[in-house]
Amino acid sequence: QIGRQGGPMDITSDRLEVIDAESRAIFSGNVDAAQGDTRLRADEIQVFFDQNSRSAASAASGFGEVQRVIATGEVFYVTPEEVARGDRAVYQIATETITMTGNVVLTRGENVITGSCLVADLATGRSQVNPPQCGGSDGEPATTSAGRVRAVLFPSSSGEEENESDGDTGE
Amino acid sequence: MTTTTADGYGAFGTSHHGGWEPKRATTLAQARRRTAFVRTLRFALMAAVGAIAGLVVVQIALSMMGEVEPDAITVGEDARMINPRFTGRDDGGSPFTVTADAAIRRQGDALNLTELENPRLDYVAIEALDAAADGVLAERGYYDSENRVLDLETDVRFRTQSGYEFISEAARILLSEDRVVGESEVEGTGPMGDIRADSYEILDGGDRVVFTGNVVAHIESRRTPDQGDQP
Repeated sequence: QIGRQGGPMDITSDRLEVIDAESRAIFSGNVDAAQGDTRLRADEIQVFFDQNSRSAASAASGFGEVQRVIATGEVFYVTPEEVARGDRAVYQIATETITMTGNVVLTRGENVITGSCLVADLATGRSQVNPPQCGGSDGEPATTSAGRVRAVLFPSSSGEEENESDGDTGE
Repeated sequence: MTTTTADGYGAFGTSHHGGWEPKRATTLAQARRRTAFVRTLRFALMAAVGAIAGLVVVQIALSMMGEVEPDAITVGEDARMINPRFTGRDDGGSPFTVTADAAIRRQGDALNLTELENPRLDYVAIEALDAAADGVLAERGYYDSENRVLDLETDVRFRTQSGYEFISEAARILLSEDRVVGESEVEGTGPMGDIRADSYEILDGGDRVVFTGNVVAHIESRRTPDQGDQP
């Protein structure tokens, strides 16, 4: 699932193609996936189901669990606490992480962090921007995060001036 | 011994000089009639040549515009058949049998088109949605035996070999291509969950299904956050 609460996932789109042999569903065109209070929006979202947990007894018994979700094209990952934007996002169930790459902008309240890679851990709720290892969870080799992290942070108490920091990794 | 005399030319007449000349047209009127007749013949010949040339041009034009559709041979008046049965094979060689409670050939319909009441289809890729339906796929259907196309209308319910269940108001089963097209709203259940869309297409015997237009999919997940993988 894409949200920390689990439960059913509702996806709307212009088009859907389901490839049975690969247990894969390709949603394209204004795709909006919602699970609990979490939303994932993109131009295209591919949902990969776990082929192992699909009962061999009957091909029609249904796909297994959602194993991996790959979103591409103007991706927005929205939770009640934060909004992350990027060119591509991969959700991997095994690690319960979402890895977002390409022009990443993470917004939490008034705080904004930008970088080239974001890894959000759904189990702990922690997000890392430009971690040392980026990706590698969707069959593609992990890469080192490129570029620098920029953050605009607003201290929670009012009246203090804006605090802009620039560093290699931000949490 | 025969003697030939000037008279031997009697059939050609003799001139007053006694010399030989061809026989002249007897009267001016006959000559005029003959001229008119020849002129008419000449005109008829020219007309015939013109008509043939025109036909050739028209034929060439028609063949360039593509084949002219032959008129379908139609049925005299409504014919009703009980327990009709149509059999055939798809391009992959899989056999199919179309049956129904009744078949109607309506006046004016082409001979290859048959209207069906409660159509059924015995085919590897498609079956009725539930046992209670007794194999019926829809209230009404039309079977085109020439193109092996079965059109289903009104309360269309069927299941595909790959586990999709469809409820719709229309479906076109192209038996020769092993493909189903539905141009009307559909509610379906597939191996991944429930799906709703404006239209659908089933390809490769159900291995690939495409939904288009206002797609809404509901995917159940048996996992909850703090649980590991479900068996």
